[in-house]
Amino acid sequence: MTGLADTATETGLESRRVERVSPYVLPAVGVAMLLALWFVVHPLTRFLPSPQEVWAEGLDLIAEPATYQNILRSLQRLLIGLSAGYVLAFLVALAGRGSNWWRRFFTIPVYVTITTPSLAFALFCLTVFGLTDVSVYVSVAAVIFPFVVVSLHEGFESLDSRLDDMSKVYRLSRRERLRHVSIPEMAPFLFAALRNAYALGWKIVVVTEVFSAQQVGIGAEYNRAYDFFALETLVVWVVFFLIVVFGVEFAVFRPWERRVFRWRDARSGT
Amino acid sequence: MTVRGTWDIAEAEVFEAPAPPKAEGFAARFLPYLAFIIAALAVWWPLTFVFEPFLPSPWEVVTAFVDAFVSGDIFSHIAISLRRVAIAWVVSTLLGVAIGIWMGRSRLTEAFLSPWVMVGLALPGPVIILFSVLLIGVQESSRLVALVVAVTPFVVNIVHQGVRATDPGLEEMAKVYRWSRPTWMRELLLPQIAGPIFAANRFAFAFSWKIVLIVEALTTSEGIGGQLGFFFKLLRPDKVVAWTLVFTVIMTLVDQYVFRKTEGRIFAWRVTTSD
Repeated sequence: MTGLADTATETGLESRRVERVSPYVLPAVGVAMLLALWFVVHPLTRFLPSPQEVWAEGLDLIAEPATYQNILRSLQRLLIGLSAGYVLAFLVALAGRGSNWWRRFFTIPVYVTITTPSLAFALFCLTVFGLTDVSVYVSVAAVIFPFVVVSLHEGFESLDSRLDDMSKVYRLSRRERLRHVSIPEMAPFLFAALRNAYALGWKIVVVTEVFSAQQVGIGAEYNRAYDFFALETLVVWVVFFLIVVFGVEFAVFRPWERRVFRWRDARSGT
Repeated sequence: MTVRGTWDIAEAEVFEAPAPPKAEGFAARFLPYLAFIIAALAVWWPLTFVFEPFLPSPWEVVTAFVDAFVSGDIFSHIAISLRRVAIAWVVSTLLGVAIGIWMGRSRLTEAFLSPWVMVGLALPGPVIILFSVLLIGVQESSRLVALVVAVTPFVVNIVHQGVRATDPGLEEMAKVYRWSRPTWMRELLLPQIAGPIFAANRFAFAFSWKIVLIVEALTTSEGIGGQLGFFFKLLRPDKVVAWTLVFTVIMTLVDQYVFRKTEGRIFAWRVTTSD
């Protein structure tokens, strides 16, 4: 396999062949091959559930209204924690933009939160705020906060000061300047920071939920499946989780980003 | 998904202020830090009365911190965790670099594996460990497998992108001169991807010592993570904070000193005036 693939790369044959098929076909084949492997291997092991069992469990859970409550509850926790952390980080990055003093002031909290493991945040918040949703909000906000600060800070640093000068020359009002100069210029960084924070935030939601003995939420379902040794339920919940995570990515972030950046496409003509 | 970016900032110095235009006094430079510490204490201390007895006071944390050192309990647990970190770190780096190079060199492999790498990047730590325990059982190997499965996709991702960014012109040169595979590997590929490999290696370490805590807290009471889970059940947030602090400080020191030293040696050949 290795040798074959390598010689093919060298002659450029393979890349041409690969490019001719749709970019989704090969990844789909990759997924399908693993599923096929699962079919073949599962009777040989003791614990691996059969694909049919998992499929049946998945259909059961799809029919159950509680499933959607779990997903929505986790999403809600993520959204609140994410927004809180993001807004806070934005303000901190903004404060550090023009002032060395404020930048230094916030160095310690950013450094401390960036090095603290997420488990420590989760356990600490769960003790202080109890086994409530507030603990999830605070740990999500605290974990994503430093990463957003750092990336927004880098974004602010790279802003073009000439655009600022230009908007002054043309006497744009504060609002116009924000709407037509600052926000479009910062949009890539705002987006990148949001998407990273979103991906990271999901992990913290699950960590906190798993430890919080919550009744509702995706993490709670993982825990329950684990307690019952129900591997097929766990598999189904992982699939649901991935659908939600990538679903939001493809259904919300990508279209939103395309909308925000449509002026770029118009200019470059792609 | 751009999960990778969220993590590799962790090792960079946060907020390294650009060189000040004019020399600032000692006071101007350190006053903000002092101001933050005072402000933090001023917020923290009153809050301890609001959340009594669940929010430990600064004094309680300091006591627990000193206690952890004096009693010496913490060191055996650190040793247990460190062993797991070391294994996960080495295995996932080797595995991740190999898969990353393979994916970068072969479009076919890339297409097959990329969805799995994406899934691996998106899975939260607890899911991986629960899976691993249900499949393998509660034993040391399931913890190590979970760690490797959690860390490897990130290494793969970094190395893969590094390989894709290599210069195709050099590749053609190597073909013209008919370099043997070992020569090509040593003289062409490795120098070009040394940066990403090093970044991936450092990331693997930083991520391993963080994720090991979750793995331990869910499966055992031994190791730092196991003890954190234990203190959590006993409602001892002061100990949770203090033990986290000790472990974090040690790991950060390892990260700073070991990696920076070796990095300097490996990249000594580079012209340093570029930046």
